[in-house]
Amino acid sequence: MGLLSFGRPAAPSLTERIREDFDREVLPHFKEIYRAALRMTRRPAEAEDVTQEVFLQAWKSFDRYERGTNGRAWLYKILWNVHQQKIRKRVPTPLGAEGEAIMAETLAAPEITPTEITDTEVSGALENLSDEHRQIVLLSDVDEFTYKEIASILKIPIGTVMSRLSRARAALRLMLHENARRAGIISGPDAIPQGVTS
Amino acid sequence: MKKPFSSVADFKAAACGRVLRLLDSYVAGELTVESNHEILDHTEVCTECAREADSRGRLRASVRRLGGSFPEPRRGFEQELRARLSAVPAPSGFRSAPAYLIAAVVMLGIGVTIVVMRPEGSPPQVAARPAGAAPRPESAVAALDVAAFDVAASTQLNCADANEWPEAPLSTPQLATALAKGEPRFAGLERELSTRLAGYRVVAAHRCMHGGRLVLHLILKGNGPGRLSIVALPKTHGSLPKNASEGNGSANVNASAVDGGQTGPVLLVRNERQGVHVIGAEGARDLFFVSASRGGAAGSSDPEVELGRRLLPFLVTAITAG
Repeated sequence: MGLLSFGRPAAPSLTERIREDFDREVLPHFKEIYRAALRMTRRPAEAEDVTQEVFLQAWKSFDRYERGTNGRAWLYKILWNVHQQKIRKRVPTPLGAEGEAIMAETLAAPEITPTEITDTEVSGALENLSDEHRQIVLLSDVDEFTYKEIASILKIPIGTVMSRLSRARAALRLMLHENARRAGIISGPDAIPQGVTS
Repeated sequence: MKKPFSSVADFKAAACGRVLRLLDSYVAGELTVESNHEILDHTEVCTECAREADSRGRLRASVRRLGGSFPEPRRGFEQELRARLSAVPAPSGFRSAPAYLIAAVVMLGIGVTIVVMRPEGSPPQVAARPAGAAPRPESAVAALDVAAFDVAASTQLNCADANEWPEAPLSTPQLATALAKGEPRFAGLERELSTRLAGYRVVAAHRCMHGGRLVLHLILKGNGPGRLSIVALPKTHGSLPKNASEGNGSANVNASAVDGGQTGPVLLVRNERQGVHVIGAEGARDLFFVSASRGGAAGSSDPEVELGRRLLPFLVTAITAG
């Protein structure tokens, strides 16, 4: 037994300190990570599985986490990995992000956001976005991560974050615009000023 | 070679097109100060783009509301998770890492301190949070707006310090217009405000976007080369943390209450972010800050404290009463 452990076992003391660090830096984000997992999975039971997996992975790799850095973004990075592993096992959605990008470009997605929109309509439009697009919008708008942080969480270049977010928002606007047009709130092409279509 | 614009309408369409392309990043708070100002200047004169900026802001707020409306985990899940975690041994990387041991000892030794400032003449009191103290429950920190300090610091750093500003003070009508445009409830405060500037003068006042949040920003100059900022933003993200233990653990909150009888019942919270000293106070619907870069404002060691004491309680009570 070494000098540091004289009179008292060193290992338990060290473990205690590590757990204190973990409790202080990681566990306070528990509720937020659960909510983000629920947003991703839509099912409470699955969200619990994902949350548990995130914190287990965080604990097992806590020796690689640098104290005082952005613990929240680090957890989201793990959450994203866990979520991606899970959805890889599923059948892909009919219209993926690429499909939406093509749709947005082909249909000249309006730059104009309908002014009369309700949370219910926004919720419906978000539901219809591809998982990839919905997640990036939520990371930016709900979790308020910067482009740089989102790039780190999703492990993609910052330019890709910007273009993906731009396409996702265009797709969201297009859906809201179409809903509003169908509901007769706005009247098709007239609502889009000349020269400002994408 | 670029074609010249054939008409005013072409020029406007090009300007609007550029602004619309930048608008999502503007609403997300990702633009540079210069681009932010470009958008603000454009939306001052273009009602279509101003309306669109507003719509996109409201769309973002709607998405944010929806994302935040998901329920909390069921009761008992956190305890189950903690129990599960406690059964897993510490990561192997720690067991043979003397560097970590040294770092842990240093970290425990440093801790987090809360400095309570007393009136001039009396010694400062230091209350340290025990290094091993349990973090506050999540429910208590959920509605704290720690990021507002970053917004106030960024406003000072990226706007007040980063740009050239005139030397001459704004006239009272100019200040009145800027206040009323920034937030109608601030209309009519210009004269009272001017009497509390303690030797400083307001050289510019505008709205700008920092950290995704639109603020009302007043830039002040004194006799020295430095600048100070007065920042007001809506209290939409929660309350100000009152002390270090109310930070959410992910931020280096080092706050203190500025006491001293001069402030009446208004608590002033001190913080330092990115080398910017910030004093904040919370009103019923707004957060107010006075900020100064470290060493930036000559003539006083803590100009933001002095100005904050004179100004912030007035703003809190005047706006609340109004």
